[in-house]
Amino acid sequence: MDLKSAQKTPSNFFEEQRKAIWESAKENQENSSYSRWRSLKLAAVFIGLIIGVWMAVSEPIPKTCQTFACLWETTNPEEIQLTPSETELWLEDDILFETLTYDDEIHDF
Amino acid sequence: MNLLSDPDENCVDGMQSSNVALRERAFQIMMNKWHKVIYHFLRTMLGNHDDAADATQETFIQVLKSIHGFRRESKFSTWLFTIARRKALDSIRSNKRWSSMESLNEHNHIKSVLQNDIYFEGSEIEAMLQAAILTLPERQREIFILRYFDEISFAELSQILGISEGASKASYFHAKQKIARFVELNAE
Repeated sequence: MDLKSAQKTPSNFFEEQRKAIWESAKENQENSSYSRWRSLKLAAVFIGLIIGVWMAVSEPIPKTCQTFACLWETTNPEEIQLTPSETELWLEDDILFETLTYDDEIHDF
Repeated sequence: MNLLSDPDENCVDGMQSSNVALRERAFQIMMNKWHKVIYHFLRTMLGNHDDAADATQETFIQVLKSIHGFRRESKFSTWLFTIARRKALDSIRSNKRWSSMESLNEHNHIKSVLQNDIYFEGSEIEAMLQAAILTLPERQREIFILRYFDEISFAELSQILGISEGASKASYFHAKQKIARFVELNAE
């Protein structure tokens, strides 16, 4: 025995309920999409702020050398482009020459 | 017909789609198959049209809300019945009309219960069967309806209800005995 035939419903009940379910679900979806969009927007602003602060804090402080030794340490030798006359001038500078000759590698220079 | 034999994977894919038109189409196909089934399950569980209509609506709204979380670890139908039975239990627990259902053992009382449902147009024997089902404890009631009317296997019943297959068989057996006893006592 099946009770389905005895269980009547108001006319168009299933059609109307189906529409109501879909509309309600769509509304929920739209609300959640809107709130998701708002959350994303807020998150983007927050992330931008964090990145900005991080960049400001972590930006390298330019280091100004006060000594020749410091300058020598921080300079890539390959980047030093001296003309022969400049090299000659440097070599004539005794103090500089003595400083340089402390380094064995530069000794042959 | 075994209702759980066709999980309708395409419907699930469609309802999980971000394309609204595709989602709506999949929803319509799913409703064509399951709307009346779930309504009649809830109607038999709850004993009246109004509560069944509310629970049916809540069930399918929940399905659409949660469909993205459906991971296909069970059949779609198992998942759907799990939601529907939870809605039925929520309705039973929030409705004082049915809280003392087990005390309904007189034919007059049963008649009055069914008279509350203006959309019930069954014969005397159908009314008695509906009333007998309503006297069952919640667990036995849902097992009896799912097994007797919807022909769901004990293995799938155990999945839907989260109990062992043996327990669902035992509950079904007790439910049948109670219904037979009820009919015997009230068939005069």
